[in-house]
Amino acid sequence: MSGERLGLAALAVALAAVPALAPTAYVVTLLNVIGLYAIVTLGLILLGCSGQVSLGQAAFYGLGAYTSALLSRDLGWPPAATIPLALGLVAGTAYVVGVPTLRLAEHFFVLATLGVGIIVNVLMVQLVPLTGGASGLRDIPGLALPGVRITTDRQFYYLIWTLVFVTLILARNITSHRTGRALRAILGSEVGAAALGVEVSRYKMHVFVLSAVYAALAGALYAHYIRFISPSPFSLYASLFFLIMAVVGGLTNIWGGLLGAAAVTILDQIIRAEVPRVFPRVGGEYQTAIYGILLVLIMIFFPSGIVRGALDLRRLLVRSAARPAPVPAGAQDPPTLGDPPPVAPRAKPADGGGGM
Amino acid sequence: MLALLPQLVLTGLTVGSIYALVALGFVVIYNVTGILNFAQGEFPMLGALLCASLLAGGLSVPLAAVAAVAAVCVLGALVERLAVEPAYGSHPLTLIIITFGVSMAFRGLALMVWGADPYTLPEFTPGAPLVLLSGVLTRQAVWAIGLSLAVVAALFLFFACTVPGAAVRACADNPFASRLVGISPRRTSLFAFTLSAGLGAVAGIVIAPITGATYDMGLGLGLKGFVAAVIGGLTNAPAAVVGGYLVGLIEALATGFLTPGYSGAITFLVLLLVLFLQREGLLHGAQRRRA
Amino acid sequence: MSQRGVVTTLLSVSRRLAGIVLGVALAAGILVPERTVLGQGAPIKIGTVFAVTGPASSLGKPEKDTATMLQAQLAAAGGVGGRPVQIITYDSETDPTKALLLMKKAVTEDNVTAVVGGTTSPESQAMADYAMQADIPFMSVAASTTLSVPSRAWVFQMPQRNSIAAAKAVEYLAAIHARTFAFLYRNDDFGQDGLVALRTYGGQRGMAIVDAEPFAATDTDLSAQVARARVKNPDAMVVWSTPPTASIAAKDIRQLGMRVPIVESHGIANKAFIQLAGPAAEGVVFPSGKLLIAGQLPADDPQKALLLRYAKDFEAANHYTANTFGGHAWDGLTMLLDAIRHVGPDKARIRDYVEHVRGFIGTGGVFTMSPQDHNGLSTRDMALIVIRHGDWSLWK
Repeated sequence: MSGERLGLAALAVALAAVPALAPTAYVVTLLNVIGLYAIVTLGLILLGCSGQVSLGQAAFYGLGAYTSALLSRDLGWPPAATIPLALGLVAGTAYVVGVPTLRLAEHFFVLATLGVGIIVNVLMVQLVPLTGGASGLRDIPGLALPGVRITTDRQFYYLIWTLVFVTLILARNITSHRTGRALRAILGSEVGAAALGVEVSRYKMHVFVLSAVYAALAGALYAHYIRFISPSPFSLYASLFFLIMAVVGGLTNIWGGLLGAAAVTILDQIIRAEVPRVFPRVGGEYQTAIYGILLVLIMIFFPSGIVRGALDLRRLLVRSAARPAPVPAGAQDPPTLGDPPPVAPRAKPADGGGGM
Repeated sequence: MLALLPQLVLTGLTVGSIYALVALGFVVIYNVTGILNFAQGEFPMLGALLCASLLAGGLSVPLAAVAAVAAVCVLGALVERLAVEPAYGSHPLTLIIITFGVSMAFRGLALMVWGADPYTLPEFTPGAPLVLLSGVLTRQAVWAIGLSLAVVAALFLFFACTVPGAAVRACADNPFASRLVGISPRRTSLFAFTLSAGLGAVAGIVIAPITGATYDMGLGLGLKGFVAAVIGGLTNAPAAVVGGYLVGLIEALATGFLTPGYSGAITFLVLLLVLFLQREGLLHGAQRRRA
Repeated sequence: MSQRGVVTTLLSVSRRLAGIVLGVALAAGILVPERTVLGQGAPIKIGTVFAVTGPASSLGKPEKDTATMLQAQLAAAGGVGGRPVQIITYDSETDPTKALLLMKKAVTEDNVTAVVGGTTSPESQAMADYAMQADIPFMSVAASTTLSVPSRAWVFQMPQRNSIAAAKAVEYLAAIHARTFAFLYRNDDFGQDGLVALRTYGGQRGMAIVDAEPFAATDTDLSAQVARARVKNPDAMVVWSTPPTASIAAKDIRQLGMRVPIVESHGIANKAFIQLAGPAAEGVVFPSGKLLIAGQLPADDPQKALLLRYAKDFEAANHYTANTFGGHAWDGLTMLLDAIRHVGPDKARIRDYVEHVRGFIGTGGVFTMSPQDHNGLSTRDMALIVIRHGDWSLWK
């Protein structure tokens, strides 16, 4: 474990030095956004560790943002108090949502979270007197913690990345200890895990609430950082975007949260800079097509994320040097979201699909 | 308020017939492959936009419609071969994420090809709308309702009375045993995607004269069709059609009698209720085999 | 953990780290803007942030294409007052967060003198708040009334704001002696803004909104809303949206047998509305900028020459028809260039100059700004347009 810790320390030093090395202020701004996305994605990956995928993360992200923004703006409470309140409220909401939904089979859980996400977004648009409707909320107070006012991009950088670190270490500890083993057992087979004495529903609930709190934390920070919120950044598209980040990083790989958020945000910059150069007449959301194809390719060839996928691929290539024909990476992928199941391998979906 | 009722019911049936056609596509794929195809809503979009382009290219309406449906069938088959088939045997969630990717890819490509402007198709049989009680029903809506019912009947006949239909059913019921008697699950999966892509294209072409067609119509249509399919239990085609009409009616009645603007939220509230109740066994569960 | 294990982990962690650092460096490299120096001296820079992609791309694309066209014209003319001018364009993807971040980038990194943009109202709101913090002139191209009411020091609004369009629509309703009307609106900032404005101006003329029906941008059928409105027997139907829902509303109103006049918003100022609504589009009246009917304007109209020239240049450069949205970008940029020509590239002096612009002829109207009015347009700058035989003509 000490190696891991050393790595974390090295990463911390590197990140602490970035603002000093950053060529421009905009890079710091971009890193702040990456940090916020990374926190949400980390929550999604924690959830992935228990074999669940949520398409409602943007709802929790938005609830965190709106709660903290409204409490501090309309009631004048300090953000230092409203952010924890927002986290508490979202945790409660996630619990209420989780009680019925976590009992659903995984693809119905996806559907249920998607439904929750859409309902929350409709409420943001409709409850005009409370949320300001589609026009959004202006004049959200900046962040003032006891003793310090956090206003500049650089100050936010240190705050956001400290929190990224805290959430990362928390997630790391959860997945590498007793809970982590239980989660991996659940990922392998819920029935098998239950048979081994794992309290499946309790663990799933803990992870679900925690993932929602992660999203809410990022949302509340977002509200006080940008100081303007509207329903559009919290729509279904945002949930899909977070899912892409988690998938790119690897749905069960804690480091994937950081990597996925960084990789997708940077890819986004590259696509927007390069595609118009190659196809000057293309307007509109061409990136959607690229993201879609990317998502399909990653899920087919690197279902455990690009990091592990690249490592697997290299191992295969090294091995194939001794063999005449290389095997495509996808052909040998295990039928799981990430790690091979430590308990019972699950039935293939083609065998277990619904009957007529 | 009661004076509104006939119109709201007719509106609900019109919109519902569209959802029903999309829901049928879900059910066919889910039955045969166990996959929830989130890209289902893109097939109506592709059907309608292709048909509009073919019309602009000088084809007659029936010819353009048939050619568009055929082209979308080919696209459906391509989706199965290129995106779904390589991932068979993966975690079910992997397959769901793949279908989301396919949906995004189609939406982005459609925007590149057709742009953001809405397109329209001519009504199949132009003329004054029909008046029933105090409500009106457009002729195109009659087409949509009629087609959704005809397609269910045709599907029922196909699965119940033909040999390929029986093979598909056998494969859905027990792929291993089907393979033993010489039915290829790979081929039935390909067939399911082709068929439901075609169903989607038909839906798109029927509704385009009423609503217009845009590159981004797929997601909303797909989600509503999905809710309809889940209400119907996901495995039962006639129940999915009933589910489609139910969603349409709920939306129309909610808009008419409650505060308008919340109809989108109400549809998904119904979805959540159905999911939870299904678990309790009030509707026949599609997940009993999944435990 | 064994010594070797530690080393391996450390290696893999440092590899990841290298990846991150590389990624950041890459991002930094990409983000450095291309510098195209035109003529002598350091160029004066103007930043633009439009929704070139995303849901509002049909508005943002012509805005960006107008900026590109103007850049080419400036290069040919040798800049402004002998100094080269560079127009930097960014794409906000119809996302308020991205719009704000890109504006920050333009201000802190490119050191622009002023910013034009904010295609949708939420984007503009986010950018306006930042303009106030950073003390930078911001020319918004969104129509929301709250952008310039109350007026804010650094924020100017180029389109005829929603409330002016609503007032123009009320002029028409008054002319046809409508006493009541029903209001169907898309439930977002555009429609909600229209509702407030129509209630205000309608009330001033003694008109009553007997029914207000919201709908979603993704709705495919509005007959339930129309049926609710029909029960109230309004003298006219007013619809505040863009196609396709704006067209579906017109179709459903006619299909449900309502014969009353239909008034729509300036959001239908494109041919897609006529194409989608078909026969139901006949007779629909809407307020709009004068670009659509520039050819029909009387010869003494001050805008006529500019409108014809803008439309001709735009179509030559971009191979598609000019629309009012690109026009708003034109107005924002040319007004800034006019200010720079007179007072140089000083932010505060540009702001003061723009605030006191009088009789500035733009595509959206003849602007006369004041400290109280940072829009500078009135109902005179809009025309009432009626759709006849599938084409636009000036309503008398």
